[in-house]
Amino acid sequence: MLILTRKSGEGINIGDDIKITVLEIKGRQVRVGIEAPPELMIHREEIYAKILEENRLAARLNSESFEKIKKIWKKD
Amino acid sequence: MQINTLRFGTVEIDKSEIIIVPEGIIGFPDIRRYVILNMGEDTPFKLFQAVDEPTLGFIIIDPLFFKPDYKVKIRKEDLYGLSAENISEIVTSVIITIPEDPYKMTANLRGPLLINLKSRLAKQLVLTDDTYTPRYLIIPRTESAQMIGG
Repeated sequence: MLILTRKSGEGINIGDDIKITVLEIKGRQVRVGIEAPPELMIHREEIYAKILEENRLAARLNSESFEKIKKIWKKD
Repeated sequence: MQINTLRFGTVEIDKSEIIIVPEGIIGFPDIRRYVILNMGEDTPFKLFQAVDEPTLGFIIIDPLFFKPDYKVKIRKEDLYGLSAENISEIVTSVIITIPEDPYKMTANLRGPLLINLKSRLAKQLVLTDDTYTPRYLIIPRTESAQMIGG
């Protein structure tokens, strides 16, 4: 991992089109600004991890449950 | 064409039914071709089945079915990514997680699937604000209760 020390207001460029700026440092929190192409998905790590975990759980469905849910909820 | 699926065995689909998820479903980045399979006439659930991986399939549902006020803010960039000209082309689905007791099934409202049925492109969003949870309990605890908000 590349480790750089930055002060408030200073930034980091990644390649030509990604820029990360340290906007504010307040106690144990840091506000970070990110400029990146819109097609790049940017996520808070813990939320991304939650979705990933949920997807894996969802994919691990056993046959018994699969059969059950077909009947659990009849459409009107 | 025929595809193999764990749930339904060999299934005949038309190539035009294939939905491409260019970035993959989160956690499954290498699997990009899916198809939506019906699970029966009278169930609101559908199977989002990987075309090239028989064992991979997600149960999906229209979130409005159990949460009529569910609303996802779709960014312009997401529209471009799905080759959509306007929002009306996009269908929102959510993935269901089913634990051992199926009545405790949850819907991932935080990571909805956006599907453009016209361009056959889809992506999974991760919503940045905290309005929705990845584990929304669909069926209220009391057995007698009916649908949430229904």
